[in-house]
Order: sequence, then C-alpha cells, then structure tokens
Amino acid sequence: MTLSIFKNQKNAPIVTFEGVGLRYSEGPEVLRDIDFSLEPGSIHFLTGESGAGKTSLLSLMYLDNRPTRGKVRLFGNPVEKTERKYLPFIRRKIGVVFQDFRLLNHLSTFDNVALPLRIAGVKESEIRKHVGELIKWVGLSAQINAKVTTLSGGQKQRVAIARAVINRPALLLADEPTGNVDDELAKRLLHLFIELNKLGTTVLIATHSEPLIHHFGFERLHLEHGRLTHLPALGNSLSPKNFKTKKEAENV
Amino acid sequence: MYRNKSSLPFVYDSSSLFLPWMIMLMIFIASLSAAGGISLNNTLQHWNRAISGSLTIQIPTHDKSGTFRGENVNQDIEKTLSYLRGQEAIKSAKKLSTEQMRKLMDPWLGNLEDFNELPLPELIDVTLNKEVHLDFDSLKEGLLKIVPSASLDLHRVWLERLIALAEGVKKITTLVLILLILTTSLTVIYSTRSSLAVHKPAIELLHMMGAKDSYIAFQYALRVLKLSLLGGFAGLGLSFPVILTISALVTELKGSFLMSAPQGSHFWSLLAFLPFLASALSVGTAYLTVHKHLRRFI
Repeated sequence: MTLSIFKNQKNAPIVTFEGVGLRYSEGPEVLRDIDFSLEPGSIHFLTGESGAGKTSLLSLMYLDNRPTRGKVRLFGNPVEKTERKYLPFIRRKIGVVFQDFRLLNHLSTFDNVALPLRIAGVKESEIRKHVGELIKWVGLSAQINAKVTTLSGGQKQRVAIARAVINRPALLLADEPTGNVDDELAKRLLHLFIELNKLGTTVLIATHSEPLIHHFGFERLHLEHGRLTHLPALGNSLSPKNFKTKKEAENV
Repeated sequence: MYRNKSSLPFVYDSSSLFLPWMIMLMIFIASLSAAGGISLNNTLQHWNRAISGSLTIQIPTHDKSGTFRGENVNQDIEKTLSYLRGQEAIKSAKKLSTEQMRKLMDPWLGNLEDFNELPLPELIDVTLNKEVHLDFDSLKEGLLKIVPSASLDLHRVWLERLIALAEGVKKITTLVLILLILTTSLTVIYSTRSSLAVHKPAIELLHMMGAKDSYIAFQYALRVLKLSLLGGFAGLGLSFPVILTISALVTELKGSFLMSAPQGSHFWSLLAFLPFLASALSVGTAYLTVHKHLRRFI
C-alpha cells in the first residue's frame, strides 16, 4: 500500500475516528462509539474528568494503541491497513507531550530535545542550530547540558514540550502540558502551540485547567464515561470553528 | 559541548555487562586452540614430508646368543640390496655408513669412543617409489625367504596412527570452537532479550517518535560492538604471553620431532583477526535479535 501521507492531500482531515471503541485486555470499553474528525490547522482542548479516557484517546492518535473496533485514519491513512514499516513516517508527523514527560534520564536537555531530529536523520549542524534556539525560547538555556534528572518538574515539562515541537509536527497532541508550571508560563507555552498552529499544525490539548480553557477559548472535545461530545468554546474563542462531529459533517 | 550518546539508557543496564567477560574467555580459548591447531598442522606436514616415503630394514650383526655373525652380515646385506633393487615399488636402497649410524645415534649415545663395539644392527635406508603401490606384506615375505634374519620397519604404519590421533585432536579443537561460537551467540541473544525487556518503555518512546526498528537495532549493535571489542582484545592480550611461553618451551627442544612452535606473520595476523571475527558474530546476532523482537511491537 502506498502511503497517502507522502502525497499533498489538501484539506483532508488530519484525524478521523469512525465508530471507535477501545478496551484494555478483557476489561470494559474505556472509549465507546467515538466519531469525529480534526481538520488541518485546527486547535482544540480535550476535556473530561480523570479516567474519562483522554489519555486513551490520545494514545490511539499517536499509535500507541490500536482500536478494538471502528476505524482510525491519520493523514488520510487507515491505521489498521497501514503496514508496520510505514508507521514511523506517520509518527514523525506527530508530536506528543506526555503527562509523565517520558524524558530519557541518561540524556541532557539538549539530547532529549534533539532526539526526534536524530531519529529522522537530520544533520547534526542543523540539530545544533534549531535545538539551541528552541531551548532558549522555553527558557532553559542555562540547563542545556544538564541531565534531565537534575531539572524541576516545570523544567522537565518544558523539555517535553520542546521535544514534541522540535520537528514542527503536522499534529501536536499534548496531555496536560501545563500541569507543572505556573499560570504565566502555562500561557506562554500555550502561545507556542498557537504559533505552531498558525504555521499549520493541528493541535489537541488535553487539560483540566479551567483558567486556560477560559483564557484561550478553543473549541472543546469533551469525554464523559468514554463517550465524546462536542462542546462550544468558552471565553475568548480564539480558535477557528473547524471541529465537526461525524453527524455535523453529514448535515453540512 | 554537545554529546551524542546512545538513545537507549544502557548506562543503567547491567544485563550485558558480562558479555565482555564471555568474549574474553572465548577469544582466549580460541587463540590457544588456533595456536595448537596450527602447531599440530605444521607438525603433521613435517612428519609426512620426513618419513612417509621410506622404510628401514635391519640386518642383525649378532645372533640370538650374542655371537658375532661375521661375514654372514655382509652376505645378507648384499642379498637384501639385490632383492630390493629388483622391486618396482623401491626407488633406491642404501646401507647406512658407520658415520651416518653414529650421527643417527648421537642424541642418545653421545660421542661414544667404542661405538663400533656396540651390537647394533646394520641399517638399510629404502626410498619408496611413490608412483607405484607398495605391497608391504609380499615384499616382507619375499625378503624373509632370502634373508630370514632381516626385519622391516615401515614408518607409514605408525605414522598413520599418529596422524589419526592428530586428526582426532584437530576435530576436537574444531568442536570446541563451534561450541564457543554457539555459546557466545546464545549469550548475546539472551542478554539482548533481557536488555530489550529492561528498556521497553524507552523503546516504545523511540517508536512513538518515529524510530524505525533498524534505528533501535543499530543502537544495540553499537553497544555490543564496543563490549565485544573490549572483551576480544582483553582475551587476545591474555593469550599472547601463554602462547609465547609455550612457543619458547617448544623451541628449546631443538629439532623436536613432537611439536613445532607456531610462528610467522600469518599466524599472528590470524590471532589479531579473532576479536574482530567475534565482534562481527556478536553484532550480527544482536542486530537480528532486536529486529525479530521488535516485530511484536505496534
């Protein structure tokens, strides 16, 4: 199968879920009948109580799990039909900020942020230039050579964010990306996501933070007991109105 | 300023730390086996060249009661020589002179003044015609009819036994080497699997960032290369003094018929090549093990 990710599919949804369900082993379904699509260049919050299935939904998008039923399409490619050897090319277009950071403790700040570029085979001179700039932007210049084990929770979170955005992903998934930083820094980091979004990156941010949801006012995907509902934006409504549930898309 | 370390946290992983020790032992034994094998081969060739195309006939100078047989000895020698010259399978036959006999016995008897008084038999050195098959039994039978006191000593008979023994030793050495290769491969396989289990979260993370299986396998291969080269050269370093000591001891037995010491640039190049060979084996095994294991991941 040829990957359509290599073709220039303009305006095709970045993510499409059709009747998706997910269960772990023999347990109950943690996600049920999920239907939605994310248009290119959209930005959304993913909200819901703890245990609602936010991390599970994100894990289906960054290919850490496969749905137990339904269809997931990423960049127009049906995930279940995509050969394993093509998955790295899809994954390189996705940036992920994990709730628990998942930094490599034996590496420095610089090497952690540089990892996606090294994996993609970018030249070392390019890596030095871009990684240095981004680390400066997230305010960690003084810690550039420090081992990440010596960093505070907030600093680790910034390293995780820098690592997720260093290769300018087409889709950025952030799981509680501002959980360990103060409000001011949280806003600054969210502005980084907005900047990336302006450059065309589709962004989905899972968060509990009411102040952020109100301040930025992106449209919301809301999970409750494993089911997805679409809620309107709160507050400033900075985001484009580009989220559609399957039903809404059909009505259009 | 910036260090490009392995993406996997091998620094916290002790599962493969015994690999250098294993490779060190393997190279040490392999070096000694190679030295022994080459020595044995040299010795066999030497034996073959020296004595395979000859036989010796003894004509006793004294009878069983110890009485000198006098002129009968010369007659027996003449009869023997004339019989041998008539045989197609014999290229040449020559009686050893007293001087040659003395030289032959020199290592055992020294420079003995009354050498001629010793009741030694006369010896006839026979060179065989390699192009004609020798029927040893009929030759012996024919000669004993003419000269009943003669006795024939065909070197090939005991040489063949020695060669069989040496060949057996060579086969055992090869078997030991095969076992070492198998053991090392299994060690690499199990230590790599154990390390893959330890680093599962990091491997999943690399996969999520778009790493191909080959990227992760390469990290393992590089790690195993470093460890095996370390162990390989340590093993080689340990084997050198042992080989040199044994070589020196063998060389001291000048003209030794039993062993020849391994020497020459070819021999030392072969030994220096062993750590690279072991490293290639380990690296290939680790790379394939990782590839096979990662197929289970999403």
